[in-house]
Amino acid sequence: MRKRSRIKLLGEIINQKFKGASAIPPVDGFAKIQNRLSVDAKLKTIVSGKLINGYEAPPIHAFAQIQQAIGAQPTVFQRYKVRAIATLLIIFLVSLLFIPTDYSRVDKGTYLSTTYKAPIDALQPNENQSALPDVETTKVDVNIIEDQPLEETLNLQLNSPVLDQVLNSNTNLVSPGTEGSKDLSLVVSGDLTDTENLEYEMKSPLLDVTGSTFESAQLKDYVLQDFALESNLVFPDANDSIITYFRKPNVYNFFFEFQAFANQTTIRTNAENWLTLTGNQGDLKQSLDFKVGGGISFPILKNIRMKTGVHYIRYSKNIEYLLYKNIPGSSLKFPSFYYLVGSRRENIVLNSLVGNLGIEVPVYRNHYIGIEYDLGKSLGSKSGNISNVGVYFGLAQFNFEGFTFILESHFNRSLNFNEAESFSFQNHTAGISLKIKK
Amino acid sequence: MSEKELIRRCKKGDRRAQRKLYDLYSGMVMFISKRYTSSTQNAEDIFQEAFIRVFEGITKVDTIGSLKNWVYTIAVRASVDALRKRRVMYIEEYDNSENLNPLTNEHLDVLDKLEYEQITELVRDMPDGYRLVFNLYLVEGYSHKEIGELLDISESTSRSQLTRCKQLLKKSLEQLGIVGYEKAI
Repeated sequence: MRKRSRIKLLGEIINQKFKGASAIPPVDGFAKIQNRLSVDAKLKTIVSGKLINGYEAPPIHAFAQIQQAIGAQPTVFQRYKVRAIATLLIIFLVSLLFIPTDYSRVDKGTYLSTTYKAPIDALQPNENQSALPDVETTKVDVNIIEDQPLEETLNLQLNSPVLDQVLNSNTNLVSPGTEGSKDLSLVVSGDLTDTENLEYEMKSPLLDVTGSTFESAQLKDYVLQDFALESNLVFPDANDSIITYFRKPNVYNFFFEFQAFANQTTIRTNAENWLTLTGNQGDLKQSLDFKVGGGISFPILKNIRMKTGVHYIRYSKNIEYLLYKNIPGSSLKFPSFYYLVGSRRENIVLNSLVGNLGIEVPVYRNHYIGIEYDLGKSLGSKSGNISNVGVYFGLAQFNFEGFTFILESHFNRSLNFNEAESFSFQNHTAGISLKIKK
Repeated sequence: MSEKELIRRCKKGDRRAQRKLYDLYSGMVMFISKRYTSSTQNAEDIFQEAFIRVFEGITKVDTIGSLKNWVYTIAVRASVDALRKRRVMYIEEYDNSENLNPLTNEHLDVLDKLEYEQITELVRDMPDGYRLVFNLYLVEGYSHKEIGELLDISESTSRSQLTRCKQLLKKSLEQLGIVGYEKAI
């Protein structure tokens, strides 16, 4: 106890002595500090004043090199653009395999020498009528024909090589815009035993029968696929003519569609952040992006079809970037600057549900071009509206088990940006879709 | 063409607008690049990198307050990044740098009389770390704390680099014929 109190006492004494005590500062200490501060400030003023607005001649041809470098940047966009183009080219070449090959067997000589004559009397328009028979005229003819007890003969004739001969011949029938029509008749006249000299004409109240030439392969694609045989072959006048009536069985087509696409993402920084993509983008694994859904397509005008449906779209992109944060500047002398926060990897995933609307027109054979628009909402964490516009091409199609399988190429562009944590982004896609139509 | 119009057209990738922007600021960017590097070749690389960032970045940012400031900042960033990539060695000696003889007003008077090209030449011969801190602290006006964050070094390293840099500057000025002196009482 005694020892303790002594130490305590010592502490108190020392404390009392040192507290408030002072020592003599260095001579001209204050002046030295002031001088140093003033020298530093002056140095800063001189150097910044002289160096902030300097000028050096840029290297010769630097602009051209920069332009070239911009074009050669290994950005995500450019890499995918090349891949997308290569993929489309391969698919296009493969799709050529699906185009019917009958076209190549057309005998041009036969085509040019074919004689066309006016349709048979039963289908001839009156003088007061237009060149094309109207629906009523056609129906009357059908009734007349159906009254005749020739069914068995008709069935036999249907299976005869005559129709095949007609369809495999070169005809001047209809333009490829048959999809907008509903009824169609094929008139074959002449001696049926003499298939070489048959004369024929395609008629429809909704079609331009005097349109461009129509190859037999196209006839098969457009007529036989889209038009079902409605009535059998008939012999309206002895056995020198055949009339075959086709009706488009299903004007409305339901379709299911799956599209796989390459996604090019545009990143936009905001005032607070700046980011630069690193050179490792090529090493990042990207998952499959796709669009899946279905809908209905129907003709709205001659040669124009509309489609509408609902789709689920998944966009994703793995990116690696250096993130910089902004510190606002106070003046021109001290401009704002960005400091490096660090390197980040981020997987941008956007799931969305969209309504789809499109219009398509035929261009050549069974190929068509269309424009489409998606409008919807994104689901999950990356919330926001989805608004895409796109163009698509019908590359190839074939029938199997009553379904039509169509390959389409799609190019879509997002019209709006979606927000991520440090930036906003926009998706542009190039893809291939398989459409199954009934 | 107004600055707004120039930015708008550059955002669209208009080559003529890019050329105009380049003509306006290439001298400034080249000067910044040279200030931060010791060789012309490196400066040209930084120059090119800076303009690539400018032309790519202009399409990504929403608003640009002052185009000159924006280009300036990018040029500085490109220079700093280029040096960071080269893994700058920050030379630190274990003596008490506070006791080194500081620059005097006489030195500064002479410095004030030099043209900027001459000052740039003096700075270019310094080690990368000194030059970097010299530019960031004295020219751009960053604090040691900001420099530390930017370069991923400690604040004290930034301070010591500056002190060393000032010593070298002092030596260089003296080699130019200016002899500093200390008052002896």
